[in-house]
Amino acid sequence: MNGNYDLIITVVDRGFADDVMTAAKKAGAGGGTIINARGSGAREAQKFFGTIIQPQKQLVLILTPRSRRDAIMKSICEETGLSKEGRGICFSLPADSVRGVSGLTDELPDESGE
Amino acid sequence: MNGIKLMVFILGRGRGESLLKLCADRGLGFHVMLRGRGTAGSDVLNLLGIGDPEKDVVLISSTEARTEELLDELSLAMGLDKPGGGIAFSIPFSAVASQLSSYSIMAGTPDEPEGTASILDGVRRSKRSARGRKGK
Repeated sequence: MNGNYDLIITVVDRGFADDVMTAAKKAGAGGGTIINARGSGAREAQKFFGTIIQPQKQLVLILTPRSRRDAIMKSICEETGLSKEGRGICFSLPADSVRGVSGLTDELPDESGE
Repeated sequence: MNGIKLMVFILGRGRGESLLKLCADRGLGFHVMLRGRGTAGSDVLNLLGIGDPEKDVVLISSTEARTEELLDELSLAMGLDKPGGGIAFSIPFSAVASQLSSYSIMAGTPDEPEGTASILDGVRRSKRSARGRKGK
């Protein structure tokens, strides 16, 4: 129940959260939760006719066993990293007590079909 | 065992309210609910329209000592032991700073002041290092 889990948080421009999930699932993530948010980076906030337009963002939360974390984060950065269209940043936090993830084990899904 | 932890619950839409109620009953002073969208559902479920991807994300702070017990209690009450009932996990805070809410309000335990010092130390440390950077 309390194996080693990590919470991967990715912040991307709005509309790219599904791309993040596609990349994460490719690397073995089970699922994720998307939350709409607003960025406030000084570089990105633009003044438009005297009103500040704040960039729309999305947060993607993915809970994963630690063994799969690096692969998932790498995959996310390759698909939607800062240099890519989604301008995503991705970081992970240690999740030390986990409940309700009976189906989320360390073993990777068997893709070879053997 | 004197830190503060952030518990995160991800539940189906509409069930966050009942969790907030449980928190209020237990005197947990700090809880926030966000609206989210799940992505775990399969394409087949989505096609049939029974995937229900709408989620409630609930953030609750508690002392490290109480976290395990609270997670067990709240998970059971919200039915997280059944597959698909939702997930819950906790994350350690490294420091907390707030003028409005004291440590006890954050953690919901007015009778447990031991942790205060270590948390304030963390805040002071980060302030000091910020000042140090300015000096250079």
